[in-house]
Amino acid sequence: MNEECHSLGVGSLIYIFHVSPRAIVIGGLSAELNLKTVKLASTKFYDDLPTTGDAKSGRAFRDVEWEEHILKMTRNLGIGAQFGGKYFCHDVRVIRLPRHGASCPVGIGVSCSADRQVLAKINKDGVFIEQLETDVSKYLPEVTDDALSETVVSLNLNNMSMDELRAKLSEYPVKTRLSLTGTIVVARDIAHAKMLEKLESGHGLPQYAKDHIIYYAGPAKTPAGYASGSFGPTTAGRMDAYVDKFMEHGGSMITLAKGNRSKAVTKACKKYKGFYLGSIGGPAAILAQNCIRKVEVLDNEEDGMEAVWKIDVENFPAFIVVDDKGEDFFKEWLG
Amino acid sequence: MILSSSRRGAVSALRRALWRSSTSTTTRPAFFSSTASTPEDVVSDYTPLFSSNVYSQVPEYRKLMGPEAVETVQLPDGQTLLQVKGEALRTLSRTAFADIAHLLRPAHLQQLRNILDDAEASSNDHFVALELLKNANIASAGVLPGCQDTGTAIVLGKKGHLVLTDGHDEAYLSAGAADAYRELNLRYSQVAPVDMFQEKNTGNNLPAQIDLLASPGQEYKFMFIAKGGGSANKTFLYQQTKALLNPGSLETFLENNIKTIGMYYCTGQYCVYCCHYCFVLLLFYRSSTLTVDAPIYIFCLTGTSACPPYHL
Repeated sequence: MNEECHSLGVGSLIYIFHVSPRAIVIGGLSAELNLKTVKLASTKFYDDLPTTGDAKSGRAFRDVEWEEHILKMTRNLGIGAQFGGKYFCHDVRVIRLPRHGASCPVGIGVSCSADRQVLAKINKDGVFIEQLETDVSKYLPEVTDDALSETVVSLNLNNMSMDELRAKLSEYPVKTRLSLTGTIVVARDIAHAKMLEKLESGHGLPQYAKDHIIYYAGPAKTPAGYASGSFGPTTAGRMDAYVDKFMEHGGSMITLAKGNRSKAVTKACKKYKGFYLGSIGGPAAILAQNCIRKVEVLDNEEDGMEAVWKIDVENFPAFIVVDDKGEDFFKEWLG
Repeated sequence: MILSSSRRGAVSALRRALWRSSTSTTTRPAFFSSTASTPEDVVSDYTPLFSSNVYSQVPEYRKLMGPEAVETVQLPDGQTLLQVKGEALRTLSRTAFADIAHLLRPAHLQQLRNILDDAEASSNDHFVALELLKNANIASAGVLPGCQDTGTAIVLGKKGHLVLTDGHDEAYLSAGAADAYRELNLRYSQVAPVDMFQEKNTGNNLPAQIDLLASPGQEYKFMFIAKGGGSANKTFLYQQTKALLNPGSLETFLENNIKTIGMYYCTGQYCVYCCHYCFVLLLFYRSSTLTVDAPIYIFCLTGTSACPPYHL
């Protein structure tokens, strides 16, 4: 049973929630044409249809006026207005098709699982697929100061071993604000894949993965005169699969990035006494200018921005997201 | 059929008449309904039923394979044919089903973000939008799919008239879908009928539903869809008549039926609302008048394997 629902109170959470369109098709040269149109309309495939009918050709058209009308209607139906809030069914497609005079099929359907479709094309230049969003974290609201503790714990990373650092963090609850100064190791997707290879081929984890906080990021180019290019955190979720395995071998004990992580990470942190830290809102460029003093390549130089980097930070803002007791800041965060 | 000699004569006379009419513009039998006289006229007279080209509105395409995936063949009349290798179809299909199991369109995510930023939205709106974003964030890592019902693989293709393949397009597209479902953490949802009553999971999520159509041009266009059971079950067909086609009747009809479909989620039983990531389980109390009076209990559950951090 979910704690969040309880905290909202029984009766407050009833959801019929449509971000993807509901499609209504009126007419159709056959019943099956009607339903096929329902399906394609719900995937937004016909969004660019003409919006007027044509007596000569009988072409299909999108009736925008009725879309508005139905939207208003559904808001007054009771289901949405009473329980759902503003966003019950907030997208409707209405398509009118020609029909055989003796029949008038009407189809109603909803889109599944939020837009689970993709367009693609093959032409003389090659094979192309619609680019879907790989960086979801930028749509997540930034965690700002007011959701976090008032006091800020300053940590000098270079004065403590990894064990001492973990013991210190263990004194504080999740959502505690931190100010980090010292050496941090930066590694992301390819670096993690390579570390796993080393581990599985019996060579163990590199020492740097055991001694330092691992920051999931990749720098943009360093402008002349700057210590670092833009160096914001990447989405942590992609590295989730590595955490348990690396912690088991004494690495990745403290990681730093943005966004929520899967249950596997919380479990691993509890099991191996590790932590996941989150960066605090603010554009990546500000981080680079204010907090990163020095950047150098540590390993895998051939991988460009995916190389392993060693950075020196000063007063780098962060907070405890997942702690060694299995607490997760995002679990209780309602934004 | 055996024709008498006189009828044979009549048939060939008719054929001659038809031939003449199709080659001359002056004598045309009435059953040639089009007034167009040349092939060019026929084409320009034609209005497609669906005048839509959603492909031109895609904000960004990612290049999966370069020109090496295709070959061009020059015809004597100067036209260029595009020859597409089966492997390209397979790779495209595999990539598409992998992508849609984990990723969403940017516009969709922006809609969710807009709800968070909307001060008028209710706390329920905010809660659900944030949960969906957190779920999408985990899924975007490419390990856990956004929903546990990873759907039926559906491919809609439009093959340009200047596109050549070896003819086994469906086989390659199907193999690509199977690759994605096998290699990734997706679910096998298809069950084959062994006889009328016994069924068995096919073990690779095949068969896929593949519809290939023809269109003019030198491009092969696709839409890949992973359709879950939840929303498919909420598609309804109503056989109506002309009597529906006035504003009053249409409004009443839609209001009644949309309401009924809304109720479909809450027919007094457990109901996983799975059209959007399946994470709210509702148990309603339903009065005898078929209207929802009040919920008596509400659970949230991890409908999706991608959101367990918050719901287990």
